[in-house]
Parts: sequence; structure tokens; C-alpha cells
Amino acid sequence: MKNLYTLMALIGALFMAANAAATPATDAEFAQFKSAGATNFSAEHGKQNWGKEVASKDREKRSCTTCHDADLTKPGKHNTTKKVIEPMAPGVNKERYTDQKKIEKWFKRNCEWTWGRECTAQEKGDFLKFLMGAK
Amino acid sequence: MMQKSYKLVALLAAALLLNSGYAAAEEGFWSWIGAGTIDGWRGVGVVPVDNKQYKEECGSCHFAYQPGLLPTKSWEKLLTAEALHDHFGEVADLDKDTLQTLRDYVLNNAADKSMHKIAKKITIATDEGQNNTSDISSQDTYSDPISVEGVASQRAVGVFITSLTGTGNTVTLQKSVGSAGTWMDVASYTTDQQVSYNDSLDKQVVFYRLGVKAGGYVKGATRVTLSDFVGTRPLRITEVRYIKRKHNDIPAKMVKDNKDVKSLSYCNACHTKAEKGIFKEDTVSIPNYPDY
Repeated sequence: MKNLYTLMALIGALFMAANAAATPATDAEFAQFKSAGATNFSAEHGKQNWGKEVASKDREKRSCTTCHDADLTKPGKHNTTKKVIEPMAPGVNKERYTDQKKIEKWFKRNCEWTWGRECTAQEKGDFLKFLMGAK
Repeated sequence: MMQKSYKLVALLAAALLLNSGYAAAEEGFWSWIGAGTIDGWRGVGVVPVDNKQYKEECGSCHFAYQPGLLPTKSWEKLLTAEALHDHFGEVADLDKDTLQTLRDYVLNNAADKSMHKIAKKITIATDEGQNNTSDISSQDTYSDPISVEGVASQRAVGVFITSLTGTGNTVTLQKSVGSAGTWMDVASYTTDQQVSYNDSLDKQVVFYRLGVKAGGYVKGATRVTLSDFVGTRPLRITEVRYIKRKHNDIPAKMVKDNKDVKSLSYCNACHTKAEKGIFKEDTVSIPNYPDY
């Protein structure tokens, strides 16, 4: 009997770990991305895009890491105002990805500022996958 | 009887304990005696931000500047969907409802809606700009001076002259650098006109006056007006004349060249109680310059 409990607890823990960062907000986001035609979300692609530098003619090169740290468990710093940006890793910052409106707001703003355009559903899904997986 | 007095003592003790608890936290104490609501009692220059959404939305990127730090007309221009899309180079889009909420809150609490000291000073500094008119009917008479500061177009001086043509009078524009008193001729006019003058003396405070010098008067009443075109609707708090003047004497090494300050925009880098709306000198602590 005792063993059974242990087993159940273990399975529970495993299950929770696998879904550590998933929240109703992220579920809703992925559903939205899928309905926009995106599929096969890849943390690997998200990671590549996170570091991708985009230049445009009248400004300096920009990437996600201009303001966020490349290490998602570390805080970043706003490029202009120098205000501290809390870590992106949900393992460190429990508030991350719990509010769908917030996720969308920052995707819109930051894609435009960094890449000069809005991100596609696929790009956003890849990003989210990558970010959620950070411990 | 005995029980009653015990009760009384216990009550008193409890009351005392409560009080001392409040007194321990100075601010709690002041609000406890009701002084927290009195304007300026503890040097509160602008009303602290008391809107959670404003604090969150604006404060996630920068110091959540109190609405009392700019007049209504400035905020009106800053807080539109279009303006926020290019918010000093940042993309600060807000959804429609949020923008409306924040805009309402800010406009209702803008500098000109407040009686707090700094808010009032800012209202005055941004009120109408400077505009001095004089009717001149004798020699050695001038308009009250105006001053310009800042850079480029911020320094434009408007010269308006009427009832001059045909009088034989000569109107002279004069300047005095740093303070009013040491006047030097800049230009002179013998006919009616409206012109803009810019001295390009960026970042210097220069005073101007317009009038008729000794020997320059013949007849009639010539009307002269001097005005500036700026300062009336600043989009940056650091462009408010009053704010600039207050920070004028702080050397660049302590602000711009101070790695922990960088710009006057970071109020709370030095103003330790900025968040509470307190900007008094004795609450200032400049990083790396503890003795200033």
C-alpha cells in the first residue's frame, strides 16, 4: 500500500514537472496560434529567434537579448530606461505566462520594437515553447 | 470591581501598544494623526500614483511619473494610441480600454488639477509661455524681459512690432546672458514686423528685451511684443522650465556622466522618495556622490 502511494506521488510529480509552465493562459495562446495555422511548435526555433539580431537602416541592431538576458533565469534590463526586467523563466518567476492579455501585449510591443514587425503565430508559439521550458 | 479595573488596564495597554506600533513606522504615524492628507505637510510635492493599473502599465518600463508632473495639455498629446506607438522611440501600445482608463486617470490628476506644490509650479511654468507687450512713447523704455533656454527651436524669440512705421523711432532687441542686466544690442528695427530670432546659444539661459534706446525715440506710441514659442506643451518632464531650473546647478558628472544616474529622467535614481511624490532636497541622494 505504502509503495502504491509512493508510486502515485512519483507519477504525480513527473506529470507536474512535464507541465510545469503550462497555464490556462498558455493553453489559450497555443490554441489561438493553432487556429491561425501554426503547428509543431519548437523550443529550438524559439531559442534561435531569441538571439537573432535584426538591423534596420536607421537604428542599432536589436534582439530579444537587447533587454532580456540570454539566460532566462536572470533578470534583464530595459535598453533605454535601464529598469530591471524580471526573469523570463517561469521556474524562477512564477508570474510569467499566467495572463494571456499580458502575453499578447508584450508580444505585440516587443516584436515591433525588436524586429520592426509583428511576429507570426508560428514565431510566437516557438517563443512561448522556448520560454516556458526554461527552469 | 477588581475585574473591571483589570479590563480597563488591559484596554489601555492594548491601545498604547497599538499606538506605539503606528508610531514606529513614521509614515503610519503621520497618517494616523491625520496629517497625511494635509498638502505639503511632509513635503509631498505631487500626489503619489494611486492607480494600480497606471503603476503597472507605465511602471513596468520606467518610473511611473505622477500625473501631477505634467499639465493636461501635455498628457493629452502623450496618451493617444498613435503617440504611444512611438513613445520616445519605444513601442508602448495599449489596448483601447486600458488606454482610456489610464488617460482618464492621468487627465483628472494632471498638474493643473492639483494644489500640490510641485504640480502648481509646473502648471505655472507651462502655462502660457512668456509674452510681454509694451507701448513705448518715450526713449529708454523696454518691455519686461523674457528668457530662453534649451536648444535649437526651443530658443526661438518672437519679435512683434506695430505702430512703428512712419514714426522715425528705432526699436532695438537686446540680450543679456545668464541674468537680466548686462544688455547688448542684437538687432534694430524701423518698420512694423513680425520676426523670429534664434541665438543658437544652446543650453544657455539668455534674457531678451525689446524697446527704444536713449536717442531712439521721435514720436507716437510703438507697440512691441516679445514672446517665446516653447515650454508651453512639453512632452518630457525634463523639458519643463521649472524642472530644468531646479536641476541647473548640478554638474554633468553627477547626472549625465554618472553611470548610476545617466539622465534626469530617472527621478528615483536620486530622489529616494520620488515614488511618494516627495522631491525635497533632503531626500536626495546622488549615487557615487554621497556628500553632495
